[in-house]
Amino acid sequence: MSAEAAASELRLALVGVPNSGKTALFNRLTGSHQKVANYAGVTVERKEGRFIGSSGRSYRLLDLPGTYSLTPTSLDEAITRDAVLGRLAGERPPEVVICVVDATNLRLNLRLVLELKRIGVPMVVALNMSDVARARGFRLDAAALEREVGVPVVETVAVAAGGARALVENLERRGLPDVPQEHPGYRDPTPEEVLETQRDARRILGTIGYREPARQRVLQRLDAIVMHPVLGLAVLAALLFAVFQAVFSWAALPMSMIDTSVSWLGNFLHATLPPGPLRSLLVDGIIAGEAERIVQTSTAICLFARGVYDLETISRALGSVGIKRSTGQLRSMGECIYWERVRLRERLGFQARLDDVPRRFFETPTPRGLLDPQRVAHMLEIYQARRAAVPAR
Amino acid sequence: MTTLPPEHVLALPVALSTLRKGDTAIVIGVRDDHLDVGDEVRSTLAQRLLELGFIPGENLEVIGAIWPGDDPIAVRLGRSMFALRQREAAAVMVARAKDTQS
Repeated sequence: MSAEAAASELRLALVGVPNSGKTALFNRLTGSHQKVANYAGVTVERKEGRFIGSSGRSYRLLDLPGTYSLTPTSLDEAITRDAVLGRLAGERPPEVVICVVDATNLRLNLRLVLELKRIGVPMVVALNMSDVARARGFRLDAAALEREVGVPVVETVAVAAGGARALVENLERRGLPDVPQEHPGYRDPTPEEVLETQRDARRILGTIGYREPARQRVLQRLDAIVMHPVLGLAVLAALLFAVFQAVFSWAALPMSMIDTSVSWLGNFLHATLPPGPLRSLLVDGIIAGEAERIVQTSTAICLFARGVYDLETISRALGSVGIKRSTGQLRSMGECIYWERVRLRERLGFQARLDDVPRRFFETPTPRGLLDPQRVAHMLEIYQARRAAVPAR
Repeated sequence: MTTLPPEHVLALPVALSTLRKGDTAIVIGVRDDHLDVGDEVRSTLAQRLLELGFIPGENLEVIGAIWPGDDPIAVRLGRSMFALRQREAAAVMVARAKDTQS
């Protein structure tokens, strides 16, 4: 991307209390265009995504850790505050903060909105789960809320397709400031100020006529069951059993379907690709797979979970204990060890020759028939070429 | 401590931690003993409780308590349910609903 395009990108940040649907909104807006990393020096996950608005403008969206307040009680919450205030090293402050609020619990959510407004960050309120709120009988008036709070309020439904479109359209329609604001004079509010903000929030809820329906009987009964000392544990045990079953029994059907489709794909490739390139791919695949397995065994990671513990996961796991290795570094580490092992075997007399392949390999039928010695010989040739290309130490 | 005007409070304030399952009460205030919360010593317990909505005049109900020691207890405040440690519940001063009605 050119520097010019990067400069015209609008940086947005999602802030909201836990369970407000912030991450659902993030996923809805960015789809699969996400990048997950850590904030420098800490184990707090940094999630950033990109998307293009209907006007063609591109956006960078940061999903900040959920917090009830800007006065932090944990590292995650401190990150959120610092990101909003533009105090994070190496991180430019967002140009617009999207405060995600749960429309079914404004009593808990509105105070954070007022706190953000107080420090003067350019912001938009995403009134999330507004569909659920209406269905459950909440009286909700987004326009009145916008008037009372004094910042744009847009209804969103993060779990529905198109449920975030209004938010982006709203951002595009209103000319929001392009200049990041800094807040050198920020200080944490005192308990008295917190109380005052809470009273403001309740006054606003009264003014806009926000009404909560009575709690549903069903939910109360459910609460009573899941929190019962015996029944609650029984529910937990049943859930864990269901998960266990899902992994070990019910997964068998999709697994065999995947298996079938993969072998079908293999046959298809075999039939359409000329043997040369296909065999090179196979040899390279074997080497790369082995290198990855070496990374897993040398970090003592369970061998039965290949694909779960991929290099990215291992890289993040190592990162959490302070060992910074990119997936590329891990891959080259695995390859390094692989060729080192080959050298060791060669010193002990190993040679990748057809004559050294046990005869029974060609005599025992496989599900796909007998192994063809000529094919194996060709693959060994390719392998030897790869081996020759590896620089000696 | 932030308190309700006395005419609203007929019963002596008690700590939320002394309530039993099924009790309903009205919040009178939170004790600000400068107890810290979490690993980042920036906020106090009182401040976080106020932020969560434990402000004077709010109704709450004790939904459940974990055996043994009632630690934590589950408290419903408005449409939220919070699990509070004994130490945290002890900072919330309440008047029992049946007392305030009498």
